[in-house]
Amino acid sequence: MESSIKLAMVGCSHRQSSLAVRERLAFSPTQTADALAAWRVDHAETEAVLLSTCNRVELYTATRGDQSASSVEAALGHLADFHNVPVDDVRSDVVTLENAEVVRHLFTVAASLDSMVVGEAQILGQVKQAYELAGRLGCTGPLMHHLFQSALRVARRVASDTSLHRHRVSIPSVAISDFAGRIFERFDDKRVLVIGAGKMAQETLDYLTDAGARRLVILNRDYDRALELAEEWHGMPATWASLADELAVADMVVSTTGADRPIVSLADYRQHIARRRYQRPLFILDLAVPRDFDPAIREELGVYLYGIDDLKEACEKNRAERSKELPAAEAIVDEETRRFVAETRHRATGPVIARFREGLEKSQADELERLFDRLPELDERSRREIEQFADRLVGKMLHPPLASLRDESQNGPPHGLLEALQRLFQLKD
Amino acid sequence: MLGLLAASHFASHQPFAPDRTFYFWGLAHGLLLLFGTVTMCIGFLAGVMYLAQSYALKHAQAASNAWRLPSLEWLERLNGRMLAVSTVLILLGFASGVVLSILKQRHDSSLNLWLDPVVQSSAAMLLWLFAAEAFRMVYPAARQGRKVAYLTLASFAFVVITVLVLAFVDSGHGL
Repeated sequence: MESSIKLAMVGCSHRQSSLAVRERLAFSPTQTADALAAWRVDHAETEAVLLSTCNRVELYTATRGDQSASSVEAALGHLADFHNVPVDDVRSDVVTLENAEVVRHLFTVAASLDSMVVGEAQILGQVKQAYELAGRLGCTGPLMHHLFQSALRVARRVASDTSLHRHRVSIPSVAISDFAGRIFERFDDKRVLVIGAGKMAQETLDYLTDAGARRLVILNRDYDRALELAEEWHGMPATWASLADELAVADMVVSTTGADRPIVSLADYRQHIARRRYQRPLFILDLAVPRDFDPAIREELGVYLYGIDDLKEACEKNRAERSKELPAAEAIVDEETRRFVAETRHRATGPVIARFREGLEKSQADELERLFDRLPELDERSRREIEQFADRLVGKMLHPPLASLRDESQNGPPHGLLEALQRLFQLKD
Repeated sequence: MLGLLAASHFASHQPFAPDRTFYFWGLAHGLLLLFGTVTMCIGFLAGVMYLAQSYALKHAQAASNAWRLPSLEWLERLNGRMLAVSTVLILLGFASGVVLSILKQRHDSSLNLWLDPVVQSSAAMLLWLFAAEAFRMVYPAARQGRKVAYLTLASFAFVVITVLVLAFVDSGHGL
């Protein structure tokens, strides 16, 4: 990676952090915007993108200059301070990456190779949204544009060149096929309550209707949003006040709200819901982070409650089944990472090349002017021929050093060549 | 109805001879109890599978690729049906046994049906089955979930006790 461009990533994911830690560091969309705005105030020179999903919280930063160590510490401090969490409490659960590692990691994440369910399509949209939000808030610049646009391109290439994404394998689909399918024989006569109306809810609805679910109830704090989604999915809207009543009659619940605390406590469940259910099986898929349902509810009779972490085992199986496709996908990520790094290094030579080119072109222009002054009898055609000759000569002189710089960039920063070029041609900043 | 008409065509017009009467009621008694026991065994297996599946689901264990248990809904339905069918079959088997016993008492008045340990255990099992069915009708929670499985397991335990009494207690039952 070019010495003057520093990339860093600080964050935690399902790979090394428990759900409890991820919950402490998770950002709602509003919080993400607030955190980025605060970052911009404190670190105006450093570009940043914050990616917060159910399975990961990652802050990407990019800056020019040798500030990598300080930017990593600043990013970690920013994540922790925003949630009033002592840095030392989460330091061991947080991963820090720099430069080429950041590129490879982001490409892997965007291509859904690092997802709990490898190959799920949702993460690409989440990466894109995080990048766009940071862009709208003015936190991105040319470094992040190049990095994230490359990541989106790599993800699309992995999707098209491998069969990793051939089947839908999102977390809701795995949960419903592997768990709900073992509770219920059929879904068409089941009452399905979807709490929350975000993208995850829509994806869940998509899968549920494919599996045969017909009796859908959409419940959301914003009733108009519930109504809109209910119309789209031919379901029924429900008001937030009817939550307990709906839970009492539901067979399946998929909860994906952005609430910052459980919406159903154990006491609520026992007092308002359990006694009306008579232990009838209730499948609850709690995809929210932080969780919407108190985990203690799973001990209640007839309740089968699953959170994100409960799906890990099934997802590992899914990963194993797809392992045949992984090498091809990882090879693409490796190739694209090398290309990105080489391009970035090559871009770093831009100012030197520009000065080199300017120097030659200035000499060319000066010599042409001197020549045309001494040969005023030259007609227009001869002048054009001589100008074209000079252009070709400068072009041919530029080609070998530029090709050498490009080749050298493949293996590492071409510091030696750049220095030689600057000294040989006396290129000054 | 058609079956009954066909059976009547082939049926004998002669009245039952006493030994054939014993044979008929004995056969009905044995077959009904046998089918009742088989039904209870199926219910027992469904109950065990239900509890295993329920345990795996409660503990978020992924499904095995090698063998996949039926869904809880299917097992619950099978459980409930097996419990109801076995109750009817065992009731009919018990009733046919009572008829057979009454017929035997005509020839041997010293016989006392209720002193037979097999009859005692069968009566206890039948009472349990009635209680279980009544419980299922009155208490909605007992019609679903693990309670049906537990009822089936308990019923199966009564069947096992009855079969053990029949096999190992010298009661003279069936002689």
